[in-house]
This record gives sequence, structure tokens and C-alpha cells, in this order.
Amino acid sequence: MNLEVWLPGMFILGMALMGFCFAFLNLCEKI
Amino acid sequence: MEIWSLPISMLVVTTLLAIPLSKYLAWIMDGKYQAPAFLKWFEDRLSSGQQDWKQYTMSLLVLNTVMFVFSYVVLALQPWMPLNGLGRGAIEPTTILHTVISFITNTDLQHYSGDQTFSNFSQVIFCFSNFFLSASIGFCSLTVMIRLFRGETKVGNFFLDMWRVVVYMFIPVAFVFSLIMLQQGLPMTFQTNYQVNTLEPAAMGTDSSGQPKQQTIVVGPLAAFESMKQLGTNGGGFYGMNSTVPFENSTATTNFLECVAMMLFPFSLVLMYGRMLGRIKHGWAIFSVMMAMMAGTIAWSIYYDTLRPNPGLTAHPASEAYSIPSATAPGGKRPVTWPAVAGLPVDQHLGNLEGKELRFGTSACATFAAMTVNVTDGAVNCEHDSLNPVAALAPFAGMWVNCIYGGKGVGMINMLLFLILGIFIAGQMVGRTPEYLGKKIGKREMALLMIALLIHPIMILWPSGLFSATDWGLKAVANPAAHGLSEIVYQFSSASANNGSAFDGLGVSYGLNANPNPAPMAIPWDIAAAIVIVISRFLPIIAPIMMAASLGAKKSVPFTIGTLRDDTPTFAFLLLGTVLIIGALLFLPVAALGPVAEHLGPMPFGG
Repeated sequence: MNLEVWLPGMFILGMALMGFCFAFLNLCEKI
Repeated sequence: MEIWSLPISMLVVTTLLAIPLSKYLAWIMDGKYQAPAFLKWFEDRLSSGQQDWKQYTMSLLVLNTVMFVFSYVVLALQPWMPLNGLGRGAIEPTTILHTVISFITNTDLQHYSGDQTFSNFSQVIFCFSNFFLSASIGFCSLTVMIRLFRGETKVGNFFLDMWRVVVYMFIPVAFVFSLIMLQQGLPMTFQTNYQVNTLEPAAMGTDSSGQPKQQTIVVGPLAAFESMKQLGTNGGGFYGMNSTVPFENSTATTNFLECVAMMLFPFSLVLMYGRMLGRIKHGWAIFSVMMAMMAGTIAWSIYYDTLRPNPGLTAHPASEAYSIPSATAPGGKRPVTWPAVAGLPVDQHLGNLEGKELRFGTSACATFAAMTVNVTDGAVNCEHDSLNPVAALAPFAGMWVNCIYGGKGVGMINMLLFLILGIFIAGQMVGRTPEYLGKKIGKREMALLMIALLIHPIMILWPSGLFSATDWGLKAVANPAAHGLSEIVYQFSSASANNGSAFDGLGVSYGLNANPNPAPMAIPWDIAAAIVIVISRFLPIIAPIMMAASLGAKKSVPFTIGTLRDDTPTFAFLLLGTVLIIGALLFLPVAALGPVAEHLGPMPFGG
């Protein structure tokens, strides 16, 4: 595995997943 | 008799300890404890004032994001960190992603072997810090729901609550357990390894100078590690084989204490819920339903595993020939090679002994297996892949309903979802607007409840279907057909339930980046499991908190003769029925295709 590509790539994916949870919190409030 | 006395004594001891502990927890979380000045100093700096439910939930997510960044950096920098006597190199990035997500969410599903992949720095700084913090998140989530149910609009401060949980609850109890573990022989050292001559030097081969090779025994601060691993229902092992290893589970006493430790806080939190609401009988009603399911899964597991022989050894004579479907074999089929012991007169009266650690007693595996999934601990003291097929339904059921005590706080939250759903259904049946704690349950609460409730089955069944139909799953399983399906479903069940136990048999490990022989499908498994874990962790926390806020803000209606009482045996049966009918039936088809088909089919189904 190319660490220079995959290491930041997986970090961004993890942050995106956490970002999704923040979005869900705001989205659910509209129910 | 001793087969049954082990689980019964564990459940009794834990319940007796949970009663006073629940009083203590309620006292702490209600803010009645006045800390000494040096601790108060920290409290004052952590508390940014009272928060509403949204600020509290935001703070929870922010802390988890910080934990993600911190943990990711620690693992990514492993080769340059201290306490790395064995020179562990860079960890493969998808393994880092999966591992970090897994540990910050209290799942601790491991796609790596700790003793082969991690340095002691990673074990201590990454694992140990997450053991405390991730375990506190669910605790705080339940606490905020209780405060919302009480009608409070300002629900405390998240960071102050985290401090209370970690410093006033986990650290003192973990310290006591660590001392006992130390006394029982678990290592407690920052030394990374010992080089030893084995008793059979010839078995180790020789080095370049012709001398017998030495064995490397990895050690670390295991007494402390183990106690919090269990008390926090984390379950992530220092060693790949987790609590089967003598350095993680040295004696029958530590095995007993590990079971008590993993159940202690989940048991206490149910009673804490009743106490903080001022409705202890209601808490006991919920506790009894959970206990009935806990006893049921343990009895099932023991009956079909400890009291039944291994059908792989007894079902067929060694001369019988079989071919079985295989995705990787030429022609799509491969011959079955029976175990060498098949057909031999092996004594089976002690039950299925495959994959068992017999130091702990014959029923210890079945007992541990049921308990560890019910409280979402995930540690194992035997090979779940080797359980008799239908016995494996017990751990499956624990993960599927995910509310048999469950993880700290989140298990109770899941049970509250079933509880409110049961009340809603019962209310509809008698034509009365359903109420919980004197608040009328409306459309918004039910919408949020169903979102939280349905995420779990979706996150198990959809990816299981995808992986069962593609090479991602077919080339990862060690066994084809029903047992292979069980391996896939177990992995996603464990991820979605934030459990962390592994069925094994799946090729999901990449480990170190320089690993010359990684599992071919490790990357898709790492990424898929990480996505499942995050969604199944936070969405079923956020939606119920929002539901509790919505319900708690309503005006209380007076208790009348027509109000459904929530502290009676009738209510307990209603709750039990709701969990079994709605929670378990969702998974009946996949249970039929996996463990049940394997049980009913030719043995061993998958070779």
C-alpha cells in the first residue's frame, strides 16, 4: 500500500463519516 | 451441576454488586458528590456551563472526532514512537481506519493481532485511552436521556459528565480489579518481550549458527489493560487470541472475574435508570426482562454446545467422501477431508471441545460466549467459529436484539426503544393514546424511534447480502455454504452491535503495511466494517436523545386507572414479547440460512 496516498485517504474517509453524523443530527431535527 | 453453577454464580454475584453500584452511579450523575478541591479544580475547568440536548450531543460528537484524530495519528506514527522494543513498523492505512473507528466507538472489533501488529505504545496510548473514553460515551448518552425524560431542558454538561464517569467511576473500580488481576499472575510491565528457551528446543528449528531458536513472548501492562478492557465492555485484546491467552486470563478466578467485570456496569446502569427517574420498580421490571433473555441465551448456548457432542466428529465415518461447493476451487467443488479423528472413539461426553480453553471448565466457553455478546463486550475465551452450529444462535441473538443489558448506556437505550414501541403497540391495541412516564407518545417520537431501531438490521443485512454475493465475501470465508454465511453475518452483526467479538474464519487481516501475505479481501472488509460501525454507533444515540427531548418537553398527563403500569409482570411480558417478536424476527430468515441450515444439513456443512 502506498502510505502517501492511502494514509490521508483513510483519514479523510474517517472524518467524512464523523461529518455524516453531524449532518444527521441537524437533519433529524427537522423531523 | 457444576456446568450450571458457573453461570448462575456469575449472574448472582454481578447482580448483588450492581445494586449498591447503581446507587453510587445515580448519586454521582445527579451531581450530589462534592469532590475534594484538587478534583473540583478540574471540574470547574471542564464544565462550560449547562447545555441543552443539542449542545450536549454536539459535544459528544466533537469529542469523538477529536478521539478519531488523536487515535489515527498515534497509530500512523507507530514506527517512530517509544515502547517499540520489537520494532513494529507502519500499520496498513485501512487497518488504521477500521481499528480507530472500532475503538472510539467501544466496538473493538479487531482486524489485526495486537501482539503481532501493535507496539506497547499503541496498546497503552491508543487502546487504553479509548477503553476509558469510549466506554463513557454511552454512559453519558443514557444519562442525558434520563434528564430529558425528567423534563429538564438544561441537561448538564457533557465534559463534566465524562469526567465524573471516568474519574469517579471507572478509575476506582478498574484499580481494584487491576490489583486482583495482578495478584492472579497477569503481567504488569513496560517491558515489551522476553526471549526464552522452550522446553522442546528442537521444535523451534535452528538459527544460522545452528542453535535452537528462542521464542519471543510479548508482554505489557496487562493487569491494568485487562481490567478496563472488561469493565468498559471494550473487549479488544492485547493478544490476537484475547482472553484465551494465559497472560490475559490466567486462572479460573480471573475468568470468573472477567465475566463479572464485563456485566457489572451494564447491570448497574439499568438500575441507575430506575433510581434516577425515581421509579426503581420500573428499573427492576426492565432488569428482569434482560435477565430472562440473558439466562435464556446462556442456557441455549450451554445446552447445544457443552451438553452436545461435536457433530463434525460424530456424524459420519471417516470413509465417507464428500464434495462441497467452493468459489475458489477448480470446477466449483472441492473434496472434504475429514478430520483425522473422525470415526475414532473420541469421548464426547464433555460436549464440543473444539476451540475450547479447558483451563476454565467445560461450560466456561458457552457461558462467556453468551455473556460477551449480550453486554457487547466482545472479548472471547474460546473460538466462536467452533461452537456447534445451533449453539452459535445464542451469540447471534445477543447481537441482533442488542438490548440484553447491552453496552454501557447504549444497551439500555436500545431497550428503551423496544419499550416505547411496545407501549405504542399496546396503546393502539386498546385504542388509547400511548404514554410513557406520563408523556404522550406522538408521531415525531415514533419516527425517530423507528429510525434508530431500523438502522441496526439494515446495517447487518444489507452489507451481509452484498458480501455474500461478491468475491469480497466469497474469497474471505474459510468455509462455504451455511457456515460461510454465518461468518459474514457474524462480522457485520458484531460491527453493527458495536460488539467486537469475532466468529473467525474470515480473512480480514492486513496488519502491518509490510505484510507480504495479507488477506486478499482485507481492504473492503476494513472499509465496510468501519462504515457500519460509525452509522450503527452514533445514529442510534442521536435519534433516541432527540426522541427523549421531544417526549420530555411534553406536559405530563395524570396517572389514571387506564394508564398502562410500567412496573408489573404484565409489562415485563409485553416488553419481552416486543423484543422477541420485533427484534429477533427481523433476523429469522438469515438465521435459517446460516446456523439453522448448518445444524439441519449434512455435517460439517462447510467442510
